[in-house]
Amino acid sequence: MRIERIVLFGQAFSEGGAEAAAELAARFEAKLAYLFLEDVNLLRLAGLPFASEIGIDTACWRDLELSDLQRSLRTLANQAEETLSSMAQRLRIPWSFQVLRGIPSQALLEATCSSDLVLLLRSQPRVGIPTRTESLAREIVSRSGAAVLYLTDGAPVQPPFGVVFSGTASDLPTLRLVAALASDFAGKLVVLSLGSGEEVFREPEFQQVVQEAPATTLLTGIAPKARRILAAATHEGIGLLALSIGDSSLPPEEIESICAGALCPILLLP
Amino acid sequence: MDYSRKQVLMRPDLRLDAKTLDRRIDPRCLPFETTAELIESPGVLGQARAMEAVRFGVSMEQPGYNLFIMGPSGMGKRSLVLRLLEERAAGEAVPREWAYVFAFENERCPKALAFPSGKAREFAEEMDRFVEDLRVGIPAVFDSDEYRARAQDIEQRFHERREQAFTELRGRAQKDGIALLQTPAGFAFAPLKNGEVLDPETFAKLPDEEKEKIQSKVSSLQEELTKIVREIPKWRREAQARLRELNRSLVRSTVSNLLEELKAKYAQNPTICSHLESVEKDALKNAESFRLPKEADALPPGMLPPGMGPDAVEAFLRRYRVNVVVDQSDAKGCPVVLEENPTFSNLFGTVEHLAQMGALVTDFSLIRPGSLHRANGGYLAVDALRLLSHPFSWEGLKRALRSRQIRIEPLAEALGILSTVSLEPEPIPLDVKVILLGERTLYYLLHELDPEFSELFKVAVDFEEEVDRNDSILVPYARFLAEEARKGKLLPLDRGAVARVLEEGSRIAADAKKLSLRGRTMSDLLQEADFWARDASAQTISAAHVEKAIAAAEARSGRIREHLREEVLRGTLLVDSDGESIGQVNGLAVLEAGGLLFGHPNRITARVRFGSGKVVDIEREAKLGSPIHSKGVLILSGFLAGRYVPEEPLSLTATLVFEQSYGMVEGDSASCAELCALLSTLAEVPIRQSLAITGSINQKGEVQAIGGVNEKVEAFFEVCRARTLSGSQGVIVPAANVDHLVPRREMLEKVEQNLFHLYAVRTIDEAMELLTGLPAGERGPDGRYPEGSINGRVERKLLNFARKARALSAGEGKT
Repeated sequence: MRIERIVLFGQAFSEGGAEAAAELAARFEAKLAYLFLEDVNLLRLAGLPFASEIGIDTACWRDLELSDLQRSLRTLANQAEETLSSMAQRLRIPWSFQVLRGIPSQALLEATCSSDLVLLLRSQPRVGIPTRTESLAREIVSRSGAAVLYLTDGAPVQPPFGVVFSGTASDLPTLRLVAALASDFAGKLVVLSLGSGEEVFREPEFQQVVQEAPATTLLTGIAPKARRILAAATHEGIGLLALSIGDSSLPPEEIESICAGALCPILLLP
Repeated sequence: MDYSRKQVLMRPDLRLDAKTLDRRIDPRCLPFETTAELIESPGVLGQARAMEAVRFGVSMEQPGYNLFIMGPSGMGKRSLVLRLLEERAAGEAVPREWAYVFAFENERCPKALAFPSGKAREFAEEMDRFVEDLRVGIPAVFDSDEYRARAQDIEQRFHERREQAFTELRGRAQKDGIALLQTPAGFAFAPLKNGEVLDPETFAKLPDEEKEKIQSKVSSLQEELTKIVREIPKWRREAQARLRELNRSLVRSTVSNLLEELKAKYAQNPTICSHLESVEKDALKNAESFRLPKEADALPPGMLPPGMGPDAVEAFLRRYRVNVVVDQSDAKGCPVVLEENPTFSNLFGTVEHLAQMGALVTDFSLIRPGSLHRANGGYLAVDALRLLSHPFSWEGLKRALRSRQIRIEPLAEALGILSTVSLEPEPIPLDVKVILLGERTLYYLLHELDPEFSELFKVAVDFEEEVDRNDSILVPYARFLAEEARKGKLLPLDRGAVARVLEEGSRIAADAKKLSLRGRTMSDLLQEADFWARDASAQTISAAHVEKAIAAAEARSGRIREHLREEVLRGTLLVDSDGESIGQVNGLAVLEAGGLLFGHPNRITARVRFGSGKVVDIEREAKLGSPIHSKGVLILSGFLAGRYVPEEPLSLTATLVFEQSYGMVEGDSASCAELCALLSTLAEVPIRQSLAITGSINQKGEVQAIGGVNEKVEAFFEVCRARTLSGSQGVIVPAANVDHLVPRREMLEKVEQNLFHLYAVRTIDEAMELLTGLPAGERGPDGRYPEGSINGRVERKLLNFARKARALSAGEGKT
């Protein structure tokens, strides 16, 4: 799988997010596209006669003016662009910056259609209407077909690389991708198998994929529950956990729980 | 008596014979062959008074009994006093040691801790180990899974609490169709429709009742949100407090374990125990500071804030280390410190600074001790002149002695030169005996000008420069020479050499009845004699080598003397050594150049005429005469007025001059010569130029002692010898100076051969008789001096002047 375009979605300035995205783009030699979204809900709010906001630090209420709000959003966008620019220059990666305006989920789905990898940060500040990032991540994968890397602040992408394997043939591309990553990073591959899957393990294709990785650990019989999967990942010290949501035996809410509770980055694949 | 000019009086009774002038010591009276046999310590020669004063001074424990050792330089005062102090100090208790530590209650005032001997360094090493253990142990604790999990738990609880509050509020709002939105600076509520915020146009079209309802809901939610937002800082503080408590609980066990042993060890020392308690409290209070900074947080070199090294933990942990300022671990007794360079900082210590980012920073570890710290509990010796030469050192020393405390006050800060944050280290109690060494002049000046001096330096130790020369001193003095030879690794002196050095000792003392105690001068002589002995491949130093050393030293420094003599011989400087002349006499001066004394003959002339009774000193008129010289000349008027024509006014004007003298004339040692020239002029009797004269005179005509007699006599002898010794040449000296004559061997030989003479006179009459060959004359029963005698001639002349004056006065009265 070749990653040519990585999309970072932002609704506020986030240096940590920009840095993580830039480093990843440098690693995959991909182009980094920053999509800064101005939530149209906010602009509508500013037009209402009783629009007012409370300062998070001052606990004081003040009227919310449309012009002030637009200026603040522009400032956030400028900060994000400057940060990205300096990082891209430092890491010598091609980059682009685009400001979108709309409803976050719709705008993002439209914008990420032609992307290979979309980055989402768990704790990234989002100015606008609250959105569940976990469900947004799952939705992007299932609708646009792009991969989503769900990052946790301070947790770098590093081996060992884990993959949730349900034992079906449809999981093989994901397994292959993660095995290739493990090989690139000269790290260990950890297969978290949700069933016994013994017959699949004996298949030559599985054997071939596994052999590509420098080392492999196979954990079988893991219950298809987010809690169990995360416990196994923590125990193995996994630095990236990949799971395919296409024909996954994992229900959507368990996938979102994995995204919400993981200490390491989560890679969601179609 | 026939007073004709032809009868010449030679006054042989005034002549000093060679035997009287012979100051040599018979080597046979010295009971050894060479000084190699003299292995016994010489002890302290001729300094009984000084030694008693030292013993008294160092034994007195009351404050203010510090010592001032006075005497000229080169006496060996310093080495002698240091030796005595070191002997005494060896038997005294080793004083306490001192260290500075961080003061937790006020970091600008580092705390001084006292330790028994040898324990300060030990404590410092123990604290270094403690710091190293903390450095490794505490970050390990913070790096543990347990800590991370518990810290994350606290953080998570805070977030959850906040999120829960928002989620609940959001849920309540959503039930009412209201959304909680995050704005760039905070939160706001907006009505929802189909999951999106209602646009203003749609809102405007709503019925008023609906609008009011929405607004009412929003207002109610805003109140709830206000409460939550106001609670958040409190929740954060609570989380932080829990995190701090977690940090403390983890650090506490590590720190307490590490300090437990130290606390037990120093349980008997409440000050150290208290410091250890403070260390423990501080470590707990600042538990956060032990955490290693994340790599991303570390600043690049050169951008570090003041006081922080590249390792912030190490920078922080410095506060637990110990700065030992006085370490007595190798001491055998109390300290004896000689401060060669008594600057303010060297004496009292200083607080150094480090430059960081253009700022000067410091802490207790940069406190440097001074010599007072090192000498505390013992003795501090300082050269007084150097002490006074360094700004504020003297004032500082007095302040320290008065307050009995050593207070470190960096001079630059005291003067306001350095304006930066500095320290005020806790003063250390001072118990020291200060020994100042200096010249007598300095002692007397300090005594006179500084009222505190006599309060603080009550013991004067006055070193003798000479010792009486007698038979009992010869062997001890020889032992002293033997000791000097051994110390300097010189060849031993045979007894002839010792005898010659002893003789030179009298010469240096300028007194035949004394021996010089100037150790450095004697030591120099021995070293130079050793050089000449080794030059001649001798095994011992002999009298000839000593003689050679003396002659060579004189020759090396004799350029000016030789040059002056050459000018006399060439006639550039007019000094006669034969013939006769009225009103002209050979005086003798002593010049000093570069610490070297040498004599020089000077022609002194006098002129008289009828006048108003003034004796004019041309040197004074030309401002070339010192006050003492002028006094000597003024005495001449008193002498003339008192001795001659007492019933008449003194009606002369006389002028006196040192011919070819172009510098200052100091002293009154030429006043006798000046009077002789004046009397010769008044009596119109010529003076023998084969003689020179030195001595001061009083109003009664008595000749008084002068200084530099040997140099003066030898100066005229050298001139005469260079011209040819006729047997009539010689020098007239005051009788009171006879004991000071220690002539050089060559002159003594010529005196023995009657080729040169020395005369000792008590009165001006004796001097005039020697100089003129005429009797001075005494007043007869008729109250008049014999006709033809010197005094008679003088009185006649003065009488004539007086009569002229009276006649002139009468003539003026008629008109």
